Amino acid sequence: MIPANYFLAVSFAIFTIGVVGIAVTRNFLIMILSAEISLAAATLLAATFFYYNTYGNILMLLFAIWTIAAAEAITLVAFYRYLSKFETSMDVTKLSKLKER
Amino acid sequence: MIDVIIFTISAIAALIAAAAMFMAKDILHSATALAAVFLINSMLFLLLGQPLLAVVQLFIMIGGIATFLFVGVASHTYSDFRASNVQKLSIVWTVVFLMLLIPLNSVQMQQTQANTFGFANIAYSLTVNPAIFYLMLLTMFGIALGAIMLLRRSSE
Repeated sequence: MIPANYFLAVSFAIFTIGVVGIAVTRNFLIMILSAEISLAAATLLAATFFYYNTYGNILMLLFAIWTIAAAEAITLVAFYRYLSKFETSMDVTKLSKLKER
Repeated sequence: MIDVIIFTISAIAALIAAAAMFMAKDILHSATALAAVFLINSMLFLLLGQPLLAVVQLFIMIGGIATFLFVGVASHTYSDFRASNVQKLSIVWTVVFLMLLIPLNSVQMQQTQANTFGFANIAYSLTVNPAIFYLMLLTMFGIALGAIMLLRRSSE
């Protein structure tokens, strides 16, 4: 039997990579992909708590997280297509130039 | 014992795939690493004794989101801007992860769900039901990846 702390440590590690990845990069695409990684770690954390301490149904919570991840991917593609239309850089520090258009 | 070994390999592979997302030069490689993180995450669901969640994770995250990202972003050859700071990522990740690990020293949880990934049930749980979905996933995902690479090569 695998101890619960192992799963929690792995989910913490993946979640930290996602959160810190948002902070240390300036690329718009990588920031959104990091948020997807954080959501994947959140699903693992929720499943771990359900496996070791079950109170209620976990499936609704996971579907909510998956819905947020899907909405985030749709937002990413929409923004990316919009930015590539104007040939704007993916640097988030230069996105303020869009308001001049 | 075998589940601990599989868990260790899966955990290391998940961390490597998550870190490879920042180090990849191409956005297509980053999206592939993201899909690998989703795949290993579903395998960790199997280790938790949740085959339904593992299969739903495959369908939604890889079949839906990762494929959508491939088609919408990674197949487009526009962006070549990379500004990922790997050194800063490693330093801040170490500090934050160690801070998160501190409360785990006092956590003791009891198992309340039946584990279908035990040593006696490994043949049934791994090779009969979920393995079919994993095979389908890898086949379709490989076809999609190959089609995108052919499209990019023909457009260059």
